[in-house]
Amino acid sequence: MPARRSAGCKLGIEAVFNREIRDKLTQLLAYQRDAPVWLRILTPWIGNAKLSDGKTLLEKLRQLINYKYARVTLIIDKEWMEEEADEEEKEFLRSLEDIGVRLYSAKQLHAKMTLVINGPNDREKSLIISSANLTDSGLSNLKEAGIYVLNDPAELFDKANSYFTDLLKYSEERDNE
Amino acid sequence: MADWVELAGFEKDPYEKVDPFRIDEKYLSWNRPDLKQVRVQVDKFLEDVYQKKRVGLKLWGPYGSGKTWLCRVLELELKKKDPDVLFIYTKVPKAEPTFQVVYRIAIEHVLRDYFGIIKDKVQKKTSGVDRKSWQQIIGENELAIVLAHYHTDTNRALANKWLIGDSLSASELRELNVVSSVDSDFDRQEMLKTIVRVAGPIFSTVVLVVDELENARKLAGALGDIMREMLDGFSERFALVASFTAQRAEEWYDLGYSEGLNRRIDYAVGLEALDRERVSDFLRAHNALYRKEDAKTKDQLYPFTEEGAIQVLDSTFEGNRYPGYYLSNCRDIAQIAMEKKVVADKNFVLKNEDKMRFRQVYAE
Repeated sequence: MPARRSAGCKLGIEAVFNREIRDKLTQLLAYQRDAPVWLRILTPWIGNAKLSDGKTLLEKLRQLINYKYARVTLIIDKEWMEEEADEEEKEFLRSLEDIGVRLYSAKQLHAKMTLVINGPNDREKSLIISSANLTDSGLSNLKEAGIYVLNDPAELFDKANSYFTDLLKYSEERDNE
Repeated sequence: MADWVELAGFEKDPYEKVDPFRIDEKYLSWNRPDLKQVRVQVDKFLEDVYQKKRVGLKLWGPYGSGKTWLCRVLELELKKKDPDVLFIYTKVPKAEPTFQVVYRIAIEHVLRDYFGIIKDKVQKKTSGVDRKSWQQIIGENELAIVLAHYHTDTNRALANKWLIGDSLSASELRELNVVSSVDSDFDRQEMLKTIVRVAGPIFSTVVLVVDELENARKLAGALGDIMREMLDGFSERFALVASFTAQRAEEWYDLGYSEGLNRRIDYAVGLEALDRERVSDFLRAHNALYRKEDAKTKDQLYPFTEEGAIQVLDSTFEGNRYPGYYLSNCRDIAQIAMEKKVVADKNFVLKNEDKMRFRQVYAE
């Protein structure tokens, strides 16, 4: 009989800089992840950035949603969304909603965080907290720094998750405004 | 009926996926001995409903975990103790997540399952079937006029159209002797409140179940506000069950429902995966509901053995160890076992686990 898939998982915290942030984000959004996938993203600004594997953010999210039934929640900055985003960016936000991303906005958002919890019984947890917005500039051109955390410590994931939940409680859904 | 069902001594296929609201109530009963904490919460909720309090229950779990099944079990348990409960079931359909459809499903449920009871009660209390009789019971409103039409079969199709919230032309409205349709979400929301209010003289309490909240998407904010207003609007004799597909409770917020509504909900119940230690008790209880009275077997687990039932769970994909998927896998195994006229013990399940639709994944 073939061996059952190991329940063991890797652990680690890593400092990431500049395009390494994009590399880690590309890994996080890989559609090969075990279902179910729960993805929570905080980024004040967002664009259809090109990731390290040549695919765009929209393509990666669409794959995750279509093939892994991922539930994706995104919080962006309210002021940017309402006043600063250009037509192309607004069109991108509409595309995100069309593929099933749940989009919210929060006032004075400056935090950037991507949290993925996936696999049966929440087996794998990954987190990037960094200075980079999910835009081509943030992921490819600017000097950015952050940390990437895999699976441990549990308290860190709980705290990051609670922070996101608290923001959601007081954020406003784009279409209900 | 399939041969294997007959051979296993069942009245009908016990593992077939069915809508709990379309199935005969004899096939439904609480069968999750592993969910002790859930049962405690459910009992507290039911007790509050019996005591005619205003109460809210939040119910979540992954696909196949039994949320709709639990809603139906709630209905049956409530009615067993208090037959005068008005239990309104509705859901947010994925294909058309609008309040118009949510409202229509609710009204159709009431008309299909309760109109007979309602008209009997109106007739008993007033000895009439006309508009005055209805107005005597539910007040001087257009709902009474339309229900009288529906009752007496005069313009029943039109009355049905009005009741489910469709738009009526001016001439159709004249035929019903009413001024306006219930054709905006505001009107529908107000009508839902009116129904709960006027149910007072007829029913002991009203339970409104809104299922599949995860499909609401852009409707979530407005639907959440409507549910919150209903909880605020009735100080007693009203219960709300808000049910959604999720792995965890906090997805409530990801789905777009507010903290304001959450704070008004008294009980929260998450349906967990089947417990390996109790899965044979679950399957035994489930099989028993479908077993023929004259079946030869004494063991309700049949065609599974104790170890066979556990092995089906072990062989089920780790993320799918919920009743919906587990029973589907039981079906795949039971069918082969009955064709071969053997019981499904551990070895048999292991030998045939590749035939299960939701089987465990192995590393290469």
